[in-house]
Amino acid sequence: MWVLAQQPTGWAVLHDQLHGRDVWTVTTAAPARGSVRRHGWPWPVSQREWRRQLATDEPGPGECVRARPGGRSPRPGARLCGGGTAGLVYQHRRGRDLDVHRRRRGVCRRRRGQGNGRNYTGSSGFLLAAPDTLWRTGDAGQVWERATVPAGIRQLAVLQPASHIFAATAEGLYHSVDAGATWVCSLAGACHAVAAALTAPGWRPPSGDLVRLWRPSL
Amino acid sequence: MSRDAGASWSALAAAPQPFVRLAASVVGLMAIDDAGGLWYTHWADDSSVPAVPWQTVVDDLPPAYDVHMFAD
Repeated sequence: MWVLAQQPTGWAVLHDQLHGRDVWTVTTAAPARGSVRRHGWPWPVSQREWRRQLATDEPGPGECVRARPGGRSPRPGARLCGGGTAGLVYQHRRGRDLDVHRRRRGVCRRRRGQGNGRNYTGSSGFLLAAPDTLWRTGDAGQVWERATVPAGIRQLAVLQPASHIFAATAEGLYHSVDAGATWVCSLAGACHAVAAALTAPGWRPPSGDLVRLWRPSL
Repeated sequence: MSRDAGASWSALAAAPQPFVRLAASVVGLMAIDDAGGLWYTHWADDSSVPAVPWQTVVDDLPPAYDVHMFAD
């Protein structure tokens, strides 16, 4: 699973599934030209721009979402801003993460915190979910640690800036309010889908759909 | 789908029964369990526990349904 952010707004998915054992992240703002074919990346970027951030034990479909706001990226030129089952997404320039997500519709196809008009700039905490593992980082991907949510994660929902994180797992629906450090079972029984929405003060229902159910196979 | 937080539904073979309206400054949450139950509750924005008990909106969803909530 590799996603490269190109300046200023272009993006490219290098591999569309998290089948590898490692997670790599780009750490410089200006992609240099060069070949990385010896690493199997079919894209002209410099090897120096990528770092192996996390070696996962359970390769498989994954999901990466922002976990909480606050903090600063250690390298302002690049920061992890989200992702979906198709891969990680990096933002190279400061801006509103929400804008990035909207541009990346189709890549971040899993739900994250719903936009509510608040400024998302500065977010630097992330979760990366594999089928049997949930990893978390509070420093834009420099250091990762394994979270303690039960195994069998099927879907995540994250709300910012309230930092509510919900995980639908094989054991129930779990809830965290500290960026994934601790979890409480909110609804017992295996769950496979979860959706959350945060409404602002004075919020009124929109004219469009508020809740949507669908069956992908239809 | 619902345009009013579940007060009415459309485009479903069996429309769920209405449930509470989503208010301002709350975290609304829906989940689908493996038995086909669609559940709903909500939190206060600054709370870590549900403000109301979980309630089922639908109890016989066909397999593989997904749910999405929009609040912007």
